[in-house]
Amino acid sequence: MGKYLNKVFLIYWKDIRDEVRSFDNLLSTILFGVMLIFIFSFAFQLADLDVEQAFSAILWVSIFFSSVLAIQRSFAKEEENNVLDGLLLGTGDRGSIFLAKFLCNLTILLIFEAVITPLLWIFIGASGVKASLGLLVPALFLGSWGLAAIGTMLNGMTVQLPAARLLFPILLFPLMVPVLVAVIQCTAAAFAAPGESVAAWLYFLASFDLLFVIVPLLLFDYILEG
Amino acid sequence: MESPWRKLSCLALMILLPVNIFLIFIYAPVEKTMGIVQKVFYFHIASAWIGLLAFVLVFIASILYLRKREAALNRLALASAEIGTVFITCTLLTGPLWAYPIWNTWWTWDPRLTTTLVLWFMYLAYIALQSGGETENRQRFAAIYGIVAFINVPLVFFSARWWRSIHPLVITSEGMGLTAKMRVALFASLITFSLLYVYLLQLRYRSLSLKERVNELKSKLT
Amino acid sequence: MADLLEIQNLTKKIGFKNILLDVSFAAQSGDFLVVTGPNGAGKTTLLRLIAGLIKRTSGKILWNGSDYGLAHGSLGYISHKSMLYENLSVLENMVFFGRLYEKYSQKRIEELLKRVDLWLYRHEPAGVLSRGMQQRLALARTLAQEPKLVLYDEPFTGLDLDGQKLLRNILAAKRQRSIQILVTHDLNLLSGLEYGNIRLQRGRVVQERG
Repeated sequence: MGKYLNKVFLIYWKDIRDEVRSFDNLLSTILFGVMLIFIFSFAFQLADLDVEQAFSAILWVSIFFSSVLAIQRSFAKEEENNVLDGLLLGTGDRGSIFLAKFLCNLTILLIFEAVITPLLWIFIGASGVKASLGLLVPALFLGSWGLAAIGTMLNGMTVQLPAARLLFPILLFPLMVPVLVAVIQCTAAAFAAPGESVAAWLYFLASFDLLFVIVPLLLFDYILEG
Repeated sequence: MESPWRKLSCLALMILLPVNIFLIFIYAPVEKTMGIVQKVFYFHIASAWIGLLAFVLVFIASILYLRKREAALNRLALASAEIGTVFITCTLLTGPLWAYPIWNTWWTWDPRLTTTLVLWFMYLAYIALQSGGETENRQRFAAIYGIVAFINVPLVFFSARWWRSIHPLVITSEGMGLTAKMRVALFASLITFSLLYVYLLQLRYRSLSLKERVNELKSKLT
Repeated sequence: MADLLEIQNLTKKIGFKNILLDVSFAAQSGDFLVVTGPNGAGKTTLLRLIAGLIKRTSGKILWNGSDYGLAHGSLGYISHKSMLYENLSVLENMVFFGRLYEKYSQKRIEELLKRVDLWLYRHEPAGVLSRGMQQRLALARTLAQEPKLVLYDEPFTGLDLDGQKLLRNILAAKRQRSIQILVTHDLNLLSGLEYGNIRLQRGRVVQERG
């Protein structure tokens, strides 16, 4: 078990270092997210709609779209020189590769959100509204977890198909509907007056997240079969 | 080449289809408040049922494919997904036809409607994954997607329903009182559509098999 | 202890095509097998099957009597793709894979990089190296793993004369302690080495000489 986690961490750390080194990639993803929230909040203002209430919707639509860019890169590094073969020979197990990639994607999404969430909060001029961080942070974390888990699994497939770049979001979004429903409830509640409890939604998200780490772990042998 | 089952189901359909039409339009009474538009309901429910049934078959065939790796199982799953898509499309088209005069809206985010739409998206994604060459990779990935999507369906339904129970819908589809005769017509529709599904599945499965056979012969020639 | 690799009735089908059909042979430590055959004969598939990177349709691959699904620790694989991270430096690649294969040793890495003439380039990203240098790095990475079974897929591709000589020396040196299986279409490059030959044609063994 220790050995297994060691290898997961080794691959994870290697990926993070690679991300840091090719920082411009991460930067473009963040920039894309910033553009999205800018266009959304500006468009809402232009149409004279209540942008404050749309906070959670704008935030998550932006995260969903940007996640496509972020996650789609996760297996690209391995495609370059068939490094995946090298990883497989070294780990002797495909699940550990999934876990490492999943954790890396989760980290990137969290960094991304740490930038755009406060920015959106400023853009929509909700400075007067008190946000409950105790609710917002778990919502962001659990939502990104689900996105990273399913995204990593699907990217493991699409990266092996020729010309499947467009396929990725088509496969991803329908599977993310339960997360979308739950996470928007939680995020909206974080800005609403305390009262309505969303604890049940958080439990729902947590079980979804758990389920979609276990399912890919079981299926990843089939995905990276070559 | 002709399978006796296909002939049999074709024959049964030739009898059942007119009977079903008779039951729907003549035997079953016209609904008092909704009027003639309620007739669409027999097609709507039956198509939705086939959409779900076809998805169960995709799920089962996908699991079996991953275990046995027989291209035939993949063909079965693909055929089922394609037919399921057609029926779900019917459901999505007939729904608004009924909803507009009755609910006064084409679309509402009712849990059933939402789930049906997401199901349709997943079907399309599944087919998109399969199209573009019959490689082993694609078949395997499609099988995995078929399994994951199936697990996802109840989650979509559950989340949509839960959301709606917090923000209740003004319009509900409850309280649709069915008379005994209407029930007979609905039941007949379900049976007829199931048979139609079985028949189409055989046809599509056969055409996919023939396509594969042609490819095989072609590759032998070269 | 001598290791034993047995391949029994190995078959790989993709759709209705037989990529490999009923391939059987055995090898033990000290054996050097060269697999030859025309393009599309199934040479690379054979190596990838033995490495456990792809799933076989039927047949057995036994390592010291036990069947394995995916690669085991004592297996090294050199493909014509370098299997290196272009963004990581030469040294980082060696350290990463050394750790991954649980055979990490600073001293050994230095020794190997000097042997393949890459010590001076240790801080360069692997991506800027020439094709031949990448291939040499791939060799060093595999050797660091101390494999008991080494699979080479067209390892001479991209190597200059020095590199070819280096590879021949490695092949000769690894000889006593390991099983080596090499795929090539150019037997001339192996002159001076003793080897058994397996010739594949359309997925079948047409000639075996060892």
